[in-house]
Amino acid sequence: MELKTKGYRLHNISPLFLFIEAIKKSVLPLLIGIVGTSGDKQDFIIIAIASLASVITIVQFWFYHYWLEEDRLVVKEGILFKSLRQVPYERIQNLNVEKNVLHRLFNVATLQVESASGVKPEAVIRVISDDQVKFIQRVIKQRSNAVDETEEKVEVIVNDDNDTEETVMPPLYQMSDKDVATYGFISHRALVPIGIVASILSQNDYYRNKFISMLQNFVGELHVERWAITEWIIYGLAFAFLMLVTIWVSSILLAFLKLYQFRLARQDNNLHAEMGLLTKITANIPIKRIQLLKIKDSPLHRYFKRVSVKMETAGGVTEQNGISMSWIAPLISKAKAERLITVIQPEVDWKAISWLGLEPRAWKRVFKRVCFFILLIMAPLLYFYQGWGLLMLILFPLAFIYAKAYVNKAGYAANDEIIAYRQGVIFHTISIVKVAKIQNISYTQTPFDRRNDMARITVDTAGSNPINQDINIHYLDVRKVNDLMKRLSIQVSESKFVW
Amino acid sequence: MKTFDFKSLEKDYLKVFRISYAIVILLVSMPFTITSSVFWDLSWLYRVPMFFFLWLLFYGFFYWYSVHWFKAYKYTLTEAGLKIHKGVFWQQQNMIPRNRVQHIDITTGPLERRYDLSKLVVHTAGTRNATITLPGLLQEDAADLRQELINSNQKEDTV
Repeated sequence: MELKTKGYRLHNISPLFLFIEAIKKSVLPLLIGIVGTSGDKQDFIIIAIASLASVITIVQFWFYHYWLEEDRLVVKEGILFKSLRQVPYERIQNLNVEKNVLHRLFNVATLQVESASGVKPEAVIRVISDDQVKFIQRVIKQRSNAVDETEEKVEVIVNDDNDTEETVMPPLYQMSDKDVATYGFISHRALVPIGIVASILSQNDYYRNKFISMLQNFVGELHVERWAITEWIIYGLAFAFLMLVTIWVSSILLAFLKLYQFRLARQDNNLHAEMGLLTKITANIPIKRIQLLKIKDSPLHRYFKRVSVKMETAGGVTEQNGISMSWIAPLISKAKAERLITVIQPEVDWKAISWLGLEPRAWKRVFKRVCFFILLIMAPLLYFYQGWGLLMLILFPLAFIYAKAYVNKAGYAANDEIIAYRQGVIFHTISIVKVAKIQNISYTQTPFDRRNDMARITVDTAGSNPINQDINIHYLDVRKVNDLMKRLSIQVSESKFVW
Repeated sequence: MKTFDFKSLEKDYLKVFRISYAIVILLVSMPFTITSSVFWDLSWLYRVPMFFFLWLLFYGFFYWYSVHWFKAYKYTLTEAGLKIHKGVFWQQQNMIPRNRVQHIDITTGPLERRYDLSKLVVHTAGTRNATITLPGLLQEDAADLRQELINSNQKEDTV
């Protein structure tokens, strides 16, 4: 097989997908155009957006070329702002493929290439034929595996890979339909979107009246002004129940759309994940690129005796700007999760992890902190409602329970291979980072910390969440922090970082 | 592999720090002067002295702070990597292992150039603390430190 160095074009059906994508990006102005404005301006806005989208489409389609070189993928695009992007195969973090119903109709797919840089995917190839996707996947996989090898050897691997490609690995983890439904129920994914839509609509008189008249069609005249307390309670509960069921059903639907037939398998040194009902996503993640592992559970998770396992890779692509894939196992029993993690990251030896607690005296600080916020909220309440504001004091015992639980639940573990942190009173999270993936270590001490002889140690990894860091051990004795920092510094400087 | 114990910043950097903040405080005193002159209905005759009084007050606080700030700012190069201590109220220690350095910039501002000083900006592949700056180094010291960090990095392939 020879590698073509001449540019490939996108598939002929591409303009359709590019057009849809351009429309999708301008969906917000479109919504404002339809809902927000009144009268004749709507048409203009829609026409403007449609024509802009068409122009973008044509430019993207005609001037998009890509080709595969010996060691890199090259993408050339644009007319006014031309860009030539070269992505070495060995630097590619994730390779994601998206196929929705429309894609399947035309036998094409969207391919997304991620490297460790920034928050945008390195290249989004929208769209190319299925065969082409397979070809690119194969080339990238072989070439990136053969970094250190000579060219002849690469050629050999290329030849015999055609046979091995077809062998299907047994999955490491698979989701049954029941799992997906349970996950949907636990996640309450639809809560926020439904809440947003409901609150926007309730602000709009027209839609609110329409909703009320529709409701009255079913239950007859409501006569809100004549309701007694019992009626308020009954109708209120009925409405709440209705909303809850709506949220559950739509959350489960969403889960099915996203996670239907979730399957995680190992292919050589890559994780291969597949999922989705209408939009099928296939992701390829080199195992050595996993930066951080996270095990999460909520009260509902605990009721079903399950946990969720997620990972972070260095490409910080989010759902807004590309195909993101951070699942290892959306719903799995705890014992299985531990086994699965050990398979993926042999360095994580559960027996070697001994959890150390925070300082027992730290509960006072958490308690004081919570009390401070309670008092802060109470001050305006006292001003407006006088004595009734004192009802906030009822929260103080709760704050005490919370503070005790916070200190009991939080803990950290550090050994030769990993550093781990667990926290959360109601929603538990365990984060695990391999020492080799640590980028830098910081120590902070606030004046309050200093008074209590405490400090905080944080560990930074590539692709981590910039707002709340996952390994962020607070309320620890300053001597322990110093020791830990010294030890980690030496450990990190002795371990080689591989992207 | 070169190492050294905790060092303070160059004494001249304290001057640079104070001069640049003297200018910042000029701007900071402005809104305070405006509010106070509105509040007490001051005439122009008093507004100007008010401004200078506020400037002096703030600069006095800052002067006291800068002494402690300078005392707290220390850095060391160990075999593991570069470690920086700083902060008066909120104290911070940053540790950058030698083999995690991605690249290093040296920047020099106009004031710093007058005193022959440079600022070292060390980049790692992290997210939140990805960029760590170390100001107040002599130009040749900064270049040496950069060379040392990059050199020790070359022995291993950090890809």
